[in-house]
Amino acid sequence: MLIEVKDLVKDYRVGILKNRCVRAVDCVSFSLQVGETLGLVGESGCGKSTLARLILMLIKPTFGRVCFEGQDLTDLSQAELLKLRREMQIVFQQPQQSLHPRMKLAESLAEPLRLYKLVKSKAAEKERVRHLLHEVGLSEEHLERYPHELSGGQAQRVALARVLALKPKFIVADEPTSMLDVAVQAQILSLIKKLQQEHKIGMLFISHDLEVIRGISDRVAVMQGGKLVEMGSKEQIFREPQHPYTKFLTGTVFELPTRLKRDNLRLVH
Amino acid sequence: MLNKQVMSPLLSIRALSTCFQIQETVVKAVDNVSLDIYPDEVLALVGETGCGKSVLALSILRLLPENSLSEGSILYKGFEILEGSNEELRALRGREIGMIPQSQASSLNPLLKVGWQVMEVLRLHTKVRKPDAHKKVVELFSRLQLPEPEKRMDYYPHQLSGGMRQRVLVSMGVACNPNLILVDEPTKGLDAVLRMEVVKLLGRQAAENNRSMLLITHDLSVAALLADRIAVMYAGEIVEMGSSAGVLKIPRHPYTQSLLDSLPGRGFKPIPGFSPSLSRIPPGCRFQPRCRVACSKGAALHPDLREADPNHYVRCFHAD
Repeated sequence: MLIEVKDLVKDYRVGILKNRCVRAVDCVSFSLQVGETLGLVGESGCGKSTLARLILMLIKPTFGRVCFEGQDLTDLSQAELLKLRREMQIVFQQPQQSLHPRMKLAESLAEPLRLYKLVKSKAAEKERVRHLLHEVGLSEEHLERYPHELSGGQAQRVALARVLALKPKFIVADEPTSMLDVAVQAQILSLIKKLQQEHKIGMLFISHDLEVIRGISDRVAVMQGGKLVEMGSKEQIFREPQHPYTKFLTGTVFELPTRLKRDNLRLVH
Repeated sequence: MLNKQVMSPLLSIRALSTCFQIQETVVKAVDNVSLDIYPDEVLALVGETGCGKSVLALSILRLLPENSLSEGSILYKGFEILEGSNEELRALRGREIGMIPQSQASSLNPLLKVGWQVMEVLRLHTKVRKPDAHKKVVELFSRLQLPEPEKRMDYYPHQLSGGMRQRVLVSMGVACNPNLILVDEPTKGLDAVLRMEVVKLLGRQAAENNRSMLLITHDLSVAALLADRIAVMYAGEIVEMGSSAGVLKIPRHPYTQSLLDSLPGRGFKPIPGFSPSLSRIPPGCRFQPRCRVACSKGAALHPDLREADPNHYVRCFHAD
């Protein structure tokens, strides 16, 4: 088992006196196999991203355990976590904001390699950076650019290259395509899928877009108000949803061309 | 379906080109676009980011920066927008042609209460007194199903959720009951539930007052849900235009076909290559380098938009 999450809870104290309690993630348990993709779907604000950050220990859980290859992450020190994070990485929603605005791409791509001392010499570093660029479908002319000179799709490719640089075993992809249009989304999704299969990476793929989830996942977990309300294989979730919320969500996906009948707002297939 | 032949269009765009002068180079963002929007019709303009969709909408309202130049003709009810004076345009914007801009996060003034911002539109265009304007906006908010509309008047944008801000923007766009509404990417970044809500909201807006709508989106299912006709734009020009069902069920242009295949529900097969930069447009068919047919004729010659089927226009040598 690559990842095992048990009874994970995150409470936030809110209000001026910090006397109100909001439970962002409520008793979530699941596991993930090597090379498997679990799709996590739910509305904005249901706790998907909080869950992602909890699994990577970017924020501390209030309660519960996260195990990576059998090792409990909850009681590790920052130094020990840093070591492990080479193997567990995240791709964020806003690619342009997750790159340093004043670093050229060559720098941005070399940074993870230097941090973990993965290359021995400058020449090796250059070679590795060039290899990474090709792997995500960019060319060397991009190396001298700054993040603001890239399109959203290109920036997301760079973010992917940075993640790949570390050869991780587990990736969290947090809405990686929600800011991109259909054509670029298809490029990024097929790239993620290809890289994941080539490198046998386990992935938690978060999205509010059910079609994307259906396209990329092996298993699907449905989240509502901080809880997992249903989990199963992709076929189960999309063909025979059990929970009313899952039924509601899958009901928002249409085959093209579905038309909204405007006089009474009915759907016509 | 209305008989389009007998009706005269509400908005008629002919050979519209919009260029930007950026230092020494001229970037042609909209190239020779002609289209009509009829009364009571929703026309969807679909295409990738950077293909010129938003520039087209902003050209209609003449809201582009000074380094831009629009040529051609935009007739609204017989009035030539491209020759309109500032006063004439101000009277048109909001009153006759409403706009619901792209990003709900950055299109509202963060320092003003949302009620005030919607009232501003009314007070600029109609001789309504302040308390009446207030009443009217509360009514608008409740029609758009904003919870506790009276209370929301005094909220600042940051106190509202994304969906609520979207509704505030919609209420601004429709406040003066314009005949034509330009809607720019209304569902970008929204989740499935909210997206459906916005689609219904827009559908209701179009249906209730027989308004026309130009819906700009890259989301093909939103276009399918709302539009009567669809125009597909690529690298600044329209490559296919026809009835919604026609374009989506029997797409004739390879770009439309590839775009449909790149939907997640159809296996997200990406289109090879990238869209050309608008300052470096290939001489022949603009899609030829990425095209699945990629004919040699298209490498050299630029195809015209031709009527392949009745009322179905395609810019491709292989459409027949």
